[in-house]
Amino acid sequence: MPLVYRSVRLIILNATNLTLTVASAETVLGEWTLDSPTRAKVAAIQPQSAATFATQSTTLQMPTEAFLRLTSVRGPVQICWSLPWIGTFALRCEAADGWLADEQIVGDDPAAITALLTLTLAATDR
Amino acid sequence: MQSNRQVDVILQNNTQELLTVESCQTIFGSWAQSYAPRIGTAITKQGSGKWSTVSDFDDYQVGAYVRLGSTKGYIDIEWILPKNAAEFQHSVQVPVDLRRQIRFVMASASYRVMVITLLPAELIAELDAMPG
Repeated sequence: MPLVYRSVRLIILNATNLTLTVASAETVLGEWTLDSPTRAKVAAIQPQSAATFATQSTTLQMPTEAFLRLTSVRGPVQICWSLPWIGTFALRCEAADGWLADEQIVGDDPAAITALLTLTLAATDR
Repeated sequence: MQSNRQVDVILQNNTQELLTVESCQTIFGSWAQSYAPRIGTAITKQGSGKWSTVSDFDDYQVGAYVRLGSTKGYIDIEWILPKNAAEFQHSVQVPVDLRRQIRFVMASASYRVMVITLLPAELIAELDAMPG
């Protein structure tokens, strides 16, 4: 079992009544963890449910970075995250008008981040 | 083989950082068996590590450095115990968001133990702000 130097677990909570389809998912640096949904070919996040996407780096001095693109009838949601070798975790969520994203970092482990991203729709779009 | 000089370094990681050995080298002497750092190994959060250098049979000085990586930056530890044991030198450099405390245990003039405690900077600030 290789040593995991940097890891990110991103829990996406789809707090809408829409299905979010995983249109694309790639690691830029590092790799998906064995239990990540992208390995299991999870194709969608069902309404009012959550999915966990996790990446890691098992190479010395290698950061981990990835992106996801989710699509829905209300437009796309693109999520990028990066945990550098030296530096702080960054999570970016870009979505079509009407989407709201609430980001929360859980825990205090700077090399093994757990983040919760809650996706909702603005009141006018529900 | 008799060790005429020995320096042990113990690092107590009282932070949430994962520390990885990224570089290490003896300057004088050799790593003691079982206490040689290995590149790529890690000291977990709230964990500890120990390294030991011993002098070679035909030399009477030891010295080494170890570089550790963390998400806050690099930690550089260096020590030299020369032939004149009174001239022991050490250096521990840490990133701005971390602090270090160093304590020496001198078993004898020729055998020193350096205990380094790594702490989060905010914890030191909190302790400083406490009354009394």
